[in-house]
Amino acid sequence: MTTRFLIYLTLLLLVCLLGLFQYKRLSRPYRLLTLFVLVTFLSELATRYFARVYVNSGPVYHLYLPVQYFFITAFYGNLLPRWKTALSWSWVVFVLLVLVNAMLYQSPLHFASNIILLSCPVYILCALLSFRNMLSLTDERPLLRQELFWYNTSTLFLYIFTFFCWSFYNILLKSGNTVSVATLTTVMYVLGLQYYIVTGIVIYLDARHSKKKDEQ
Amino acid sequence: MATNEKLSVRRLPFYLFLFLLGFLAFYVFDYMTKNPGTGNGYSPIESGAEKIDEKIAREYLNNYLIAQDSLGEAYKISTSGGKTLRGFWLSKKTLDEIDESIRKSGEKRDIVGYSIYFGKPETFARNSRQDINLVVRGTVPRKEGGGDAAKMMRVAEEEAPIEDAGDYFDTIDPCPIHCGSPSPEEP
Repeated sequence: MTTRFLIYLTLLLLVCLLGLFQYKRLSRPYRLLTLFVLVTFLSELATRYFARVYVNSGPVYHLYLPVQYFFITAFYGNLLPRWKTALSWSWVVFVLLVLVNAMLYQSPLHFASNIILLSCPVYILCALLSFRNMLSLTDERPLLRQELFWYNTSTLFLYIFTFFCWSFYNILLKSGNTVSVATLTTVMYVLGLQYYIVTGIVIYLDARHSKKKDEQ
Repeated sequence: MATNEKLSVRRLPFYLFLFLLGFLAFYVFDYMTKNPGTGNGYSPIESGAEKIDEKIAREYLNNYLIAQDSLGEAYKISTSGGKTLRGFWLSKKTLDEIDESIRKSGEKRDIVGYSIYFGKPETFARNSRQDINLVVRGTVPRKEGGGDAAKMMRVAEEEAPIEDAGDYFDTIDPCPIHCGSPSPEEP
């Protein structure tokens, strides 16, 4: 296990523990977010097991990606009531697409990058809709204290970059540009770290906000 | 849930999602157990090799010999004795030694094949004839390292998922002298 993967796992564990300790105080969407981090942590642990035993962690991602899609869209579904039904039915469509991809295009032994390309635009759209939704809602707190502002920004950063990275990855690889490939990997890693750090912060902010509301 | 704020999801799509996810999990599990090599922990290494008729095999061998013999001495691939090189004979003992060298190196991965490279014992300046030998090494499934780089590499599939391991072996006996019987006919 590399040091940077260990840092990533430790971060996931810390965010997960933070969410679980504050679970009772959290509002509905942030409970989903906590469970999402927990599933991510377990899934990443499973990838190490698969890499060790099967010399291939591809199968884990074929199962993890639809679960990730479920949690992120369910999170936004709770914040965007008008879109809740559409997002809910998209789970069924999405898992069907994962199945088709695994059967016809990227077998369970290959990394399911096609699925990432499908899911990223949905996450980006959800974040943008959530920003629009924030404008119509009145929140007395300053913008920088609002958890959604941070979470949406982080989501946009991560998934826009992830989408373009996976779109151009094979072209870069074919051109033999290993420096660019390594740089992309590092940027994705750093963006992944910022995403889970921000997720930890928003879970903390929501728990604190709920506590203040209870005290009033 | 401990409080009155329960997680809410649309039931019908959620149950359908769970059903399909279960099916997906079954498919992934089934795929891994049915594919040769994955059951014992290794990815199947695809190869285009398949059985061919003896007639076709002899045709290939003769085509090669005719092509070689039509070349001048400086271009013809030959044995150190100056005869047209027909092929090589790889002893079972050498293969076992290659396997053993991988095991001794502490590799826990299965040996899935052998890489066979062309070599030339002497420099072109010292020996301008094309008498070549082989350098052989065992291959194991490519190890997947941690992190995104390894995940990404598996998307492109530009290279076979194997890597060489263990010691290098040479002096793979040429034919002639080490020819099977019946040996490929002279053109």
